[in-house]
Amino acid sequence: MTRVLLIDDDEKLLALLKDYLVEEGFTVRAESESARGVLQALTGDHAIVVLDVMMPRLNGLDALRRIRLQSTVPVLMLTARGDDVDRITGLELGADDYVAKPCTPRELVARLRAILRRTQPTPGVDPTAGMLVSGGLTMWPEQRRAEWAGQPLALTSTEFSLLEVLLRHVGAPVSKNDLSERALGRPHARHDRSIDVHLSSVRRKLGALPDGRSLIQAVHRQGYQLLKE
Amino acid sequence: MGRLFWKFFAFIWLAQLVGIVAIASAYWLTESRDLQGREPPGPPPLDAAGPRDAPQPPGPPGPRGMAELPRSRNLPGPPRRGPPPLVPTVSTLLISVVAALGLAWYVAKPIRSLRAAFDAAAGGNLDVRVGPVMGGRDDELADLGRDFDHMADRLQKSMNGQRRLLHDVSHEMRSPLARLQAAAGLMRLKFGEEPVTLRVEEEIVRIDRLVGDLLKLSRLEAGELAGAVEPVDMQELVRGVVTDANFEAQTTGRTVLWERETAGTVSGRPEMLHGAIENLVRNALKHAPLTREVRVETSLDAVQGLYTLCVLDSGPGVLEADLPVLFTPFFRAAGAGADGYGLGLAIARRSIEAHGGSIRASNRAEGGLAVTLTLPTERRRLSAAAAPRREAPAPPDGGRLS
Repeated sequence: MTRVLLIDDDEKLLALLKDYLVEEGFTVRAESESARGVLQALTGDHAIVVLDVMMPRLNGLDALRRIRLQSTVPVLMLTARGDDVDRITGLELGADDYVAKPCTPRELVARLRAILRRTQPTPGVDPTAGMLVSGGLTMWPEQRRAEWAGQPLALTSTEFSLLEVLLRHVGAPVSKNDLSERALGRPHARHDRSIDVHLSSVRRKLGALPDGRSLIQAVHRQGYQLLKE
Repeated sequence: MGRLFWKFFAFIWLAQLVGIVAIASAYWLTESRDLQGREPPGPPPLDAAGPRDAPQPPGPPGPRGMAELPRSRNLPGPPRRGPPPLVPTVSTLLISVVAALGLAWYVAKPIRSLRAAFDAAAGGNLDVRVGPVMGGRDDELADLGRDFDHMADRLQKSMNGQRRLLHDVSHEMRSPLARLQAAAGLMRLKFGEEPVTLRVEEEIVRIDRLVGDLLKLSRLEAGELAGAVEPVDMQELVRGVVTDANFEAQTTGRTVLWERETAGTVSGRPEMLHGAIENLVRNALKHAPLTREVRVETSLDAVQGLYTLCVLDSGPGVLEADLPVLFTPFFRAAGAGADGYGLGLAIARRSIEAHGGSIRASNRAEGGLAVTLTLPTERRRLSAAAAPRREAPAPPDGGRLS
């Protein structure tokens, strides 16, 4: 049973969403107080956190910042529709994806499942199998673990999935649509900046190559590419 | 300087000139008549005056001055009417020009600033105030300026209030809407896909769209623009819109055609531009249900730096009287039974205007409606950045006119 943590200040909505998610087979814990929600998220008991950005007192973005200081638990943000600033800031802070609120619960569940599918290891598979290596970059997709030049990389699950897709196609450009479908589990929407924001965060974490270039390169009109060393 | 200034100047200066000429010629005439009248007696009166002078008490300088005149006449040569003195004439003329210019400027300048302010207000910019330009002036024109500021203030407050109300209402509707959506989803899970649960969801989607559009419009009107400015390839953008719209239109057996593609780069927010053009095409499809095709025509004016896009349908068109209000929120043309709230075109107009472009609608001679939008291309916007347009939002110094 997948454990979901819901953090939203609207208690009535929380109750309804909880019922819905329980009907869909999740185990749900609901928190209407963001500070308590952050503590819950850091317990490691939850497979995924759904976090409302628009909350009084400790707002969602600050809550996300606190969670990310200590944990890479997948976070799905609920953002105000049309509010690009919150959305981009949230993704930059390390949210795995976002849903514009108000949203249908079906949409929410679809996004949850898409994130969970790629973060939960398939049972019964040798964890060291399928190790991917290119130059100084090593990834163990089954363990959701990555190393760059011998140092562990702290990637969010979306960042990990994007890097994994690029690494599997190292040396060749991958279109934004392919990246979106494989890493985010949804087709790329026109003008959606999610991929760019996630990848620029990965780029920051990787740092520059000795020659000053970045390992991840944007290819005009084609998407992104991981350089072959 | 405007016509009013020159008129004032001409009148004042003309009046001064006439005055000067009249006074000068009067003086000159008297003087020369004086001279002529005094010439024949010559020196004798001087002799006669001499002794009489001494016993008299010191009187006003008048007679003395007059008395000196004949002394100068002692110079050899016949008495003559001298030419009009050049230096006093020129300096008087100069002073009168300066005075006339100053007066005209004093009257015309506040009127000019008032006019500019009214222009700006009529163009929708109510941030303009004329008070600072009037300075320490205290007369009827300054009162007029204060009245204008007062009016602009009231108008602005009432408009802002309306806008805020719209925004707040839509904003507040989102929380209950989110709950409603969750409840409808739950209902569907528990009771299955009954027609009634589907209908509830369908209506929620409609309200959701309306609230979303209202918020989008109120953000646009408040000048909160979504997305970053970047060079936008118009050919790619329009092709995307046309391809999508055509795909949807085909389900009802219609087509969206863009026969001659035009390349061009506009500096702007791609999402907003995409939405605006998409709204125009959707509107054409919606309001001309019997049209077999909607045509998109584009052109680029490289000299003027303008990218023009025209969406043409062959539907019933719009009443001439409705054309000017077609782009106001919630306007729905008479007889348009189509589904919608009349926000699409309003959003399109705001989005295009936020890019320094314009949008207009006209009925086609051959029937149907033509909606044309014009956007400045990247080069033109760059050169325009040096000289801000008049419709541009208020400058940071509080809308001071100069």
